[in-house]
Amino acid sequence: MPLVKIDGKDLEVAAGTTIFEAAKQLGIEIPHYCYHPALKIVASCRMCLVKVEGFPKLVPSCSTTIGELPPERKVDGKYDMVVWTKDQEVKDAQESIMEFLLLNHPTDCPECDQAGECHLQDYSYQYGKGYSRFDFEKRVPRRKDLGPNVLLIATRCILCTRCVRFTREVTATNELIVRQRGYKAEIDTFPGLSLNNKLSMNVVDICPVGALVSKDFIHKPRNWRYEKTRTVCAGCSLGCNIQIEAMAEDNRIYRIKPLYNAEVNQWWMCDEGRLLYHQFEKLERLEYPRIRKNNELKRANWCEALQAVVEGLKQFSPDEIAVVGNGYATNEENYLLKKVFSEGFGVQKFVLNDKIRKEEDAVFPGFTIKGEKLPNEQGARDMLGRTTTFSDALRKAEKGAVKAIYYLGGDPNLTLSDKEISALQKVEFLVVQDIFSSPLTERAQVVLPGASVYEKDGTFTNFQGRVQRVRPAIMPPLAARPDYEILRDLGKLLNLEMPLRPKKAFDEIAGQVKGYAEMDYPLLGETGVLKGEGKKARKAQAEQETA
Amino acid sequence: MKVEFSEEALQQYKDILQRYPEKRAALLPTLHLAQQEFGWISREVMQYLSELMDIPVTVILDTVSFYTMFKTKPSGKYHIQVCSTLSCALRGSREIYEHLTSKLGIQAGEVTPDGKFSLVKVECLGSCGTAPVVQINDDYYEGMTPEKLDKILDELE
Ligand code: SF4
Ligand code: SF4
Ligand code: FES
Ligand code: FES
Repeated sequence: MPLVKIDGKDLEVAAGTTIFEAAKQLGIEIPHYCYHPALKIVASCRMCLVKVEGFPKLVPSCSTTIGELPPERKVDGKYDMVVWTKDQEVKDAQESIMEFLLLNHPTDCPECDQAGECHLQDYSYQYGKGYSRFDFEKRVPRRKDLGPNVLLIATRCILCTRCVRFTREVTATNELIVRQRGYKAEIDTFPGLSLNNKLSMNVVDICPVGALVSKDFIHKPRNWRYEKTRTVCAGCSLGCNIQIEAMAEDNRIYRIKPLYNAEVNQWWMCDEGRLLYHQFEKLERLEYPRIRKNNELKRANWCEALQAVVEGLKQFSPDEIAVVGNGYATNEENYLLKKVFSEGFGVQKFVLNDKIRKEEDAVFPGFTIKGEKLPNEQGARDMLGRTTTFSDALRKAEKGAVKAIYYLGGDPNLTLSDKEISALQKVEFLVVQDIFSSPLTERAQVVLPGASVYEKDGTFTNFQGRVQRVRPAIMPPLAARPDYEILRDLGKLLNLEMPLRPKKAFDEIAGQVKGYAEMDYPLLGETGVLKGEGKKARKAQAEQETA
Repeated sequence: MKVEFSEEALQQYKDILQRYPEKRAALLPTLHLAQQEFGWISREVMQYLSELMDIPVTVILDTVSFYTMFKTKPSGKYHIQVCSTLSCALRGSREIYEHLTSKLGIQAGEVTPDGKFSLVKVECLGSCGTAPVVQINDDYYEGMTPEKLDKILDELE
């Protein structure tokens, strides 16, 4: 294997490794714009120039590879390449490139959404000269409305072509191009076309500057003002890793961005998942527990409501009660649901909500959006064991075989047919634990306001069987509570032994549910663990710790 | 009007394809062919080529806009290209250009109202030794002076 020395540090690398990658392995950061690990290398921005001993001029580190030299040509008798990334010559080049990239830049950071997370700002500070010698009129290309979610503020563009390559290589939708050349070059699309693929907003993330702007985020408060929470998207069964940016003052989400997970979503997420929080904002949320009295849902406190649930359900035999779990609820919630109703009421068989949104997978060369529009169907199945469907339960209700229903919700896509709604009419005792007003709550005897996916703590199991941590970014409204707590307190009322927190419940899951053995929250870490691989992951973790 | 290659052009296109490993590689010669055939590369021409060659229309625009040799506006019957790079500039190309603008009454990028002449400035035509150079349609006119140019233009129908 070739031996390389970078800034005085030795490293052995596989032949064909780029200088950039080798430096990264040594913890040496080289500034770069056009390079992105997901995209083909074009080496056009020249920000990553380094000095290689024996080479006549500086070379771009993103595209220069390290190979084995014959013994007689090795540097100092052993190195295949000797690289300097902080040499004066390199610094001068970096300074010139920065000045060049900023020639026509409007330096409008005060009104730019990227400010605070902008590579132009950061690199200007670290590598730039702090002023410009350009004395002429700046070029002002017009801003362009590229598509439904993305705007181009062309004056800020440094023509790294990351966005163009994204639409060619990851989505193969080819909307974006470089139009014209040299001084006149601009990012554009064909007249009449627009950037409207399902992954379009990823170009905003990979734009290293503030040129591509999310219409959803434009002019919102500064990005450093948000609380950032690592969690999982609930939009489909892929379970993209995301960062939610929210503010505590107003308990609102302002932006969602993808986080890298090599096994799940790599760098990306879909636009629908990114904007999903608006769907929840639009729901008419349930804010207080309610009990039906004289045919009217009256506000109650939590003690009264849970008491009413217990008393109401006691009237029925276990096989007259349908307990509905949900792929929009966490593993811990579905687990508690089963625990409370099997131990507290003797219910044997559980029901899984099948009234879910399902469509075809959307397949792109570099990403597949799953068609099941809920995050945890897999996990709900694992927790509930063998189940019947909600449709089936409704049919039984129609015939009078099911007399009581406990419905655990959370899915904003729930739609029921008229026939199903009229079947609900026949149910004598309906408890709805959900987040929004629906035909279900209208017919419920007791309504328990739960939490949305952005408000709960626990785990989801994605379509691959990967168990991933879900964390709350905001609080449920008013008296609404995380569903985990509601079920726990219901169990306590029945004098059952209940795990206090989701973390505890997950330990129980690990002890009982097939595939989850050996797992716990710390083990899931940032990337999650595949079902059946708990043991392997634990071993790997132990090895890493000793190393 | 429907944009489509004539049978003859289609045959030429097929011959071009033979010379390249993939369709995309044949884009530049096909664009030249299209320019000969249609006079200039309109949006419709790009759309036609996109379908014909199975290349995204955006990629065609990317290429067309990169090269100044492709006309994205109609030109006059006689398309006059004045070299304005260094050697020609030193030998008086500015004078030639100004002479043309006053004679024809148009600026670079424009067409005379009768559609006879169009005028553009271009970069080095690769004939510096005989500067200043003017290209009219496919022909080079070398060592130009305003007087010589007048004579040439007067002879054009
Ligand atoms: S818009 Fe952004 S990503 Fe696209 S070329 Fe310009 S700087 Fe690069
Ligand atoms: S692909 Fe699925 S999990 Fe990923 S962002 Fe979209 S909806 Fe969310
Ligand atoms: S990052 Fe290497 S040239 Fe742009
Ligand atoms: S400069 Fe005019 S032909 Fe070269």
